[in-house]
Parts: sequence; structure tokens; C-alpha cells
Amino acid sequence: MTTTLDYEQVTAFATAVRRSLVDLGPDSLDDLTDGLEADLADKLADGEPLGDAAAYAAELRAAAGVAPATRPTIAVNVRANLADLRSRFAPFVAHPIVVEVTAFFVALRPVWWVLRAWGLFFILAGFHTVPSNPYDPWLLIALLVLSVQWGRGRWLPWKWSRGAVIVLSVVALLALPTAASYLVQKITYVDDMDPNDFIPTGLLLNKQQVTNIFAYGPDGEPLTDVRLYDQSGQPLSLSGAWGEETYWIDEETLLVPSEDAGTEGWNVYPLQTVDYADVTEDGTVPTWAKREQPELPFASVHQLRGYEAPVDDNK
Amino acid sequence: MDTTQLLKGVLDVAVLAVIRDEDGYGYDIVRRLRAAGIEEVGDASVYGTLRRLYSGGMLSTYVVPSDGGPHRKYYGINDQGRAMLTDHRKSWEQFAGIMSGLLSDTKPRTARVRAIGEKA
Repeated sequence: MTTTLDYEQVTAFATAVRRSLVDLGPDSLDDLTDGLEADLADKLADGEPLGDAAAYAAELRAAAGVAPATRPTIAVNVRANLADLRSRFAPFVAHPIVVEVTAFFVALRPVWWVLRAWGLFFILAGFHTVPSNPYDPWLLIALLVLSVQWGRGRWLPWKWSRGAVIVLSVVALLALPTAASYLVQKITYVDDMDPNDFIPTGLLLNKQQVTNIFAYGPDGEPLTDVRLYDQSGQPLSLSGAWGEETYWIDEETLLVPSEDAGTEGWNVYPLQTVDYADVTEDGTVPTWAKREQPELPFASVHQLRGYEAPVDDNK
Repeated sequence: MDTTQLLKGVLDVAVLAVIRDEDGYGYDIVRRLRAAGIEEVGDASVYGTLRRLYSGGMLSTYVVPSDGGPHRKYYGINDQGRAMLTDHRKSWEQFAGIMSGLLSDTKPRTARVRAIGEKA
């Protein structure tokens, strides 16, 4: 007769036995321990103690002729496979070209050590490619020293150190493409911000943008609606604003192209202005917007020497 | 002499023998072995042996549900198992005869030894 107490004891014992045999895999384990509870319950009912589960599992394993569990199976397998690979590729590895190429990359190992340090720095410094606070330089130096020492086979005090270095190396390797792209972006950004390297389009005078042109006639009086071309017949565009509706010159004023010159509206000088308040939200200039002549730099300039006022035929 | 050492070599045959006439489940087979006089056998050894014989194709197996408890796994001998049992019985009888002769005081040992090794 099986009591509840017996059954709990049996279940616990069977679970412990299965746990000891878990390395066999689910199928073999089932084969070996199917019906175990019933047998154990009978054993208890016969007045026999269940004994030690681990010893019981070992006896079961030995009698069934299945291999005892070995802990470092993965490491052993990997090592065996590597040795096998090595022997297979031995003739290939011995080839002079392969030897030469291998030597080349071995010579490059220090570069990898530095890159590994940088990859780890990138992660530890919160995705900064270069030191960005007072501690970062020390972190970078520390990682550099560590990485180089690891590369030289030093500073690996524990058995698992080599494994840890491999893991860190993989992490660093995975971080490198991102770090590199961050760095490239950073460099490009810096370039864009450097006023010495920035070349604006349009017409420049002493590296300053010319935004408008004021022409004066031989009589010294301002001209309007002047159209200008360069030596090859290109209309002069000051701001590079071809195709644009407007060009900002300050917070309240916009330059606009002439409406009377077709596609060469930007080549009618001086460019007229409209008030910012008149421009619609999407940046277009409504036809009713009031166009004004810009403020002249000079009301008039000196007449050209020898200028003669045209003779008025009607006089 | 400790019979557990002797038993290791013959447990396979002993297990096959006790289910030759009637199928049995794990602990039932242990009981039969003990009833036959093999007292020292551990139940785990018997179950492991059953599993090995089953893997070797000597046994068939089936599960019988139980009303008030866990199911029982029954083992039965098949043709291959019977053939193995017959084989083993013959070699056992021969071996046992030789051992009996060797160990008994009444017969000359040397003659027997020559018979085994077929040196004579």
C-alpha cells in the first residue's frame, strides 16, 4: 500500500535521479527512468530504503552501459574539432603564400590591440569615440595598456581570463563599425563647421556673401533693373538662390527675384525686398506682397570724369 | 567470495531467464531474481540491464497504467532475446562444467586444463 508520504519521497528521489542523468538527453533519460516511480514505490513497500539518489543514478548508468557525464564536453569537443581542422588544413597552411600572408597579418596584431581598446572605450565611455570628459583619457589609456598586455599574453591571471578576453574582443569587434561610423560623422560635422573650409555658392567678396548689387550710371545716379552676366554668358546669381522663392538677409527682410525676367528673375539688380510678414507660411511670396527697392548704400556717387549730360532733343 | 563480481558477467542472462516465461515490470523482476537466490543485486543495476537489453533488441516493452499510482513499464523477451538466452545457456553450462571440474578436488587439474586450452 502506497501512502501519500511514500509517494512524495518516491517523487523526490526519482527527480533527483533524473537530474543526475540529465546529460543523457531527453530520449535516453526517458528510456532509462520510465516507470521508475512505480518501481521505487514497490521497493519502499517491501521495506527497503531508497538510499542515495546519486549513487542510484550512477548504478543505473553503469548497468545500462551509457557513458558517465563529463563536465567539459563542449571545451573537449571544440578542442578536438580544432585539432582535426588543423591537421586537415596543414598542407594549405604550409604553402609559402599562406605563410607570407599569415606573417603579414601577425605583424598587424598590435593594430588590432589598439582597435580593441578603442572599441571597448567606445562602449564604456557611453558611445563617445574620443575622450569627452576628464576621466575618459585615463580610461582610454588603461584600456590600451590592458589590451596590449592581453595581446602579449600577459595579465591573464585566472583560468577563465583567456575566455573573458575572447568575449571582450568579440564585443569590441562588434562595436568597431559603429564607433567608426560615429567618428566619420564627427569628422564630417567638424569639417562643415569650419568657416575656412566652407565654400558658399553664389558671388563672394573677401569670402563674404554678396547679397545685392547696386549699380550707378556714369552720371552717378542709381540704376534699377540692371542685368549682369559673366564672361561666359552666365547670369550672375548672388546667393545661389536659383529656383528659390526668396532669400533671407535679416529677420524682417527677404530678397525676391523680379517677376518680369522669367527664369532670370534673380538677375535683375538691385534685388527688391519684401517684408517677412507678407510671406506665407510655406515660404511663397503672394502677388499682393509689397515689393520695395532696397536701401541704397549711396544716394548717388560721383559722376564719371568727362561725363556729359545727354542732350535733350526736345529742348 | 563476493558474488556481486560474478553476477556482473551474468546479470544479462539472469534477467532474460526470469522473464522467459512471463513478462515483468522493473521491481517485479528484481523480486524474481531475489526469490531465485540472487540477493545482492541492486534494483538500479537490474533496470539499467533491462534498458541495455532493450537497446540491444532482446526485449520488447510496454507501459501499463496503474489505477492509484504511477504507471508500470513491462518488459517481455522477444525471439532475439530467446536466441541469446539459449546461446548463453549452452556456453554457461560448458563454462560451469569446466569451473566445477577445475575447482573440485577429486579430478586431476592438469588434464582438465589441457582440455580447455586444447594443447594436449
